[in-house]
Amino acid sequence: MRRRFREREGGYTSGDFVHDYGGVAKSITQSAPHDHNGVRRVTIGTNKRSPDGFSYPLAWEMGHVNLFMGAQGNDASTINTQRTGSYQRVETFRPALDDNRDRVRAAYARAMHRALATGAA
Amino acid sequence: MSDTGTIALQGALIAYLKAFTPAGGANSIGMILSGRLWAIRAPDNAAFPHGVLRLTGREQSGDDASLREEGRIEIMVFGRPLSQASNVEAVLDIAGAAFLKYSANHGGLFDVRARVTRDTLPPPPAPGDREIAQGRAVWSYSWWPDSLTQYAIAVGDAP
Repeated sequence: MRRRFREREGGYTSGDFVHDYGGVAKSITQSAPHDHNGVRRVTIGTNKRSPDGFSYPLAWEMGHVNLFMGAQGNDASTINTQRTGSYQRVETFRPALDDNRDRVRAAYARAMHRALATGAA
Repeated sequence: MSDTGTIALQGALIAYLKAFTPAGGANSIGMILSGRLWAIRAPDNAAFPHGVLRLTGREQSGDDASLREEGRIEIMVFGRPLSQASNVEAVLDIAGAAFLKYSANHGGLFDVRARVTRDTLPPPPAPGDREIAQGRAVWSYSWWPDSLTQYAIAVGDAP
């Protein structure tokens, strides 16, 4: 996750509107394993907020219509990275989860194997 | 082959959603959005409300001899001004009904399995446009695309 953010230290898009992307990398939070609706889970997130309290990494992850980044430079090479009209979206958390899906499964398999072998929960 | 299958699948899902009429005779998604439901991204300067459908997290894992694909369908709906929030939520409500126990042949058996999440996104502060109503829903699916199953080994063929 942090690696993905470090790879984009120039900012989410063109670098013209760098919203402290490196700061987001340092703000990644990870909860301890906990129960949620009967399922054990770990929550990954960020506590990064703009001065008015808004979680701007959320706006980038889910996309937002950006008032200042209008419809310019709409060639195919810039899709999803720069000025593709006024809608801007740069996903980081979901692709990071996809990249690590096998590692998550392996960790689960190790824990399950340990529990079966030792009887420990 | 797979690219053709993907584009065809996206188009088929969009066509199905636009045409689906919910019980009770309420407006279809196609009517609410005036047909503006696109794959991957909306055209620049698209009128509101509109929606975008995307396939993500497409996995081909070891189960089922990798002949089955599992992934996610994401639909993002936008309205502007905020008073179109009712349109945004209505579209996602209807999409939820449309995908409930949905199964069809889209170049291979296709099943929508569950809705994974649905969110109403908060309007961001500047430089985000605070007059945008934005909603998102994600479903998981499984698909046995012909592009893969054509290579399946029939029972009795295995060495």
